[in-house]
Amino acid sequence: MLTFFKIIAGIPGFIFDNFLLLIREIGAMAVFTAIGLRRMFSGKQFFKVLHQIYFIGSNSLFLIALIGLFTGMVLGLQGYYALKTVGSEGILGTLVSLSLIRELGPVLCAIMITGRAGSAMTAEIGVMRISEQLDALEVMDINPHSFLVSPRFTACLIVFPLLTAVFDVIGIFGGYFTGVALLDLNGGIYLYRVEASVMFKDVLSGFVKSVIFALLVATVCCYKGFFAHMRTDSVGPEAVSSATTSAVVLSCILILIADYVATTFFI
Amino acid sequence: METGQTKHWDIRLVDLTLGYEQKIVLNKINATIPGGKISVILGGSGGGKSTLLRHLVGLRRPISGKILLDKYDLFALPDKDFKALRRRMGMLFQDGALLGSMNLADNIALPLKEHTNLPDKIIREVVLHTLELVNMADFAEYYPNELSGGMRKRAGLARAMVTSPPILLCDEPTSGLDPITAAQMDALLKTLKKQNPQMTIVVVSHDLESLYAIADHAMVLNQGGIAFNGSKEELQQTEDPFLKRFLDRTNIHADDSKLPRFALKPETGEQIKNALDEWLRQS
Repeated sequence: MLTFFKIIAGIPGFIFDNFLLLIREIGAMAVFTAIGLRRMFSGKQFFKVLHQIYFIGSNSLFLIALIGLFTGMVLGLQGYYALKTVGSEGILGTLVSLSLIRELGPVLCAIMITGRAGSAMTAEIGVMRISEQLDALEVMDINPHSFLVSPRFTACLIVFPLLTAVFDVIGIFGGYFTGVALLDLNGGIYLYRVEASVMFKDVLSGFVKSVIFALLVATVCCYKGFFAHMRTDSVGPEAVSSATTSAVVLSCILILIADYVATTFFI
Repeated sequence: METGQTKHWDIRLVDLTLGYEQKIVLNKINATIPGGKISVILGGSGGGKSTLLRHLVGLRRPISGKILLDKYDLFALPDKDFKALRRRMGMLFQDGALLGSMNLADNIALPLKEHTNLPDKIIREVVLHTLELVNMADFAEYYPNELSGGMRKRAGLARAMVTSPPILLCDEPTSGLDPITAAQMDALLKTLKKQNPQMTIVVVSHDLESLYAIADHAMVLNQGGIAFNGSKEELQQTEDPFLKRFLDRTNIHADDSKLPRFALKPETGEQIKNALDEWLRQS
């Protein structure tokens, strides 16, 4: 009985401690982001950024194109039959294009890049941390933020909107393929609805979202790798794997939360 | 600040207390590591040798006390001067700490590429020359994971040397190496010292062979303090019982009545024996 009361009495303290930890983590991440952004304009970044654009962007292109195609095709299929019940299959182009450009494009693209490139960023920086490579950089007076973090920030900020655009375009084509080629919808109507429905505001909202997601993913993934050695739940290689898992999970959660918040501004 | 290429850099430890969070590793130590010499810091595993080295190079801040490089208090300097002072140090990490995503040439060129505007051709020439010093010129295009432990250490040494720092810190340069490779590493350090007579080299090691081969000066750490700080000759002639046991490689805890703290109970021993027998029968 006494133990039960002890557990109950400990709950507020536990919640408070974890709340403090959360606040500290958010603060540390904010400082980390600020340093990373400030160092984006320090010297000799060009080739590092180029390399990261290749790694994050070019290497993810096929995956993004594939996911975009099938997302558009599924949207076309589901949308066609849903709209047919109310006799409105003619606005399939509107449904597919707006769903993709406003929501699915930026969100799915960001989640895919997190899984493919974000996890790799965390793992690479984490391994460098536990094998003293970051210490070696510091001893050589090479700022690890400038060398590792800022190029990834810049690359993400460039690559996310571009890949999102690719995702959207291929997704719209996927919807066209399903609706027009497989379900006999009129191609001209589909394309007319796409052109008539998509406003500049929609494109802007997708673009802004992808930039926000880029910053979130780059921050979380680099931060988790950078401080892999300070994890309390594990050490060594296990800490790197835990950091990678937590980076991907946290990035995905933050993407969805940020998407909701951004949508409220653009709706 | 002087460039420091033509002077001796003495390193003075003043009331220095080092540790990790709540655990104190070295407590209020005072010593001078003389400039222009090879100093070997010895001590048992977990005795604080590598911790001391990480503080000397400014990777960690001490709990209290000072580290003076020449007349400069390393941790009291403004950030700009602190960095300027650290540029005068090179460090060889235990496993080389080479960047895994770059080949040797790029690893060694890194400080020059980041801090100078030298043309690539000149940097390449310097890199090959530095690799030649450590007998690794043929491996310039190799990646760290394609090299043996000894080669990684030599490449790490080349990277530490490429900016010609007046202070060179080496963390366990011979650990994990076979006796011949370890001797080659010692010879390499001696050669580097001969070529750069002003250079202050601090080597952390638990290898007595290295002490006899390269040291001008020795420091022995024990139980959170300094058991000895002086010349190699003085250390060899010491009458201190701990140091004699340390140098003779006899069990330094032989007289310790507290050992063993964790004796196996007879029934536990029996259980382990049965379990292992069972496992061996299965295999």
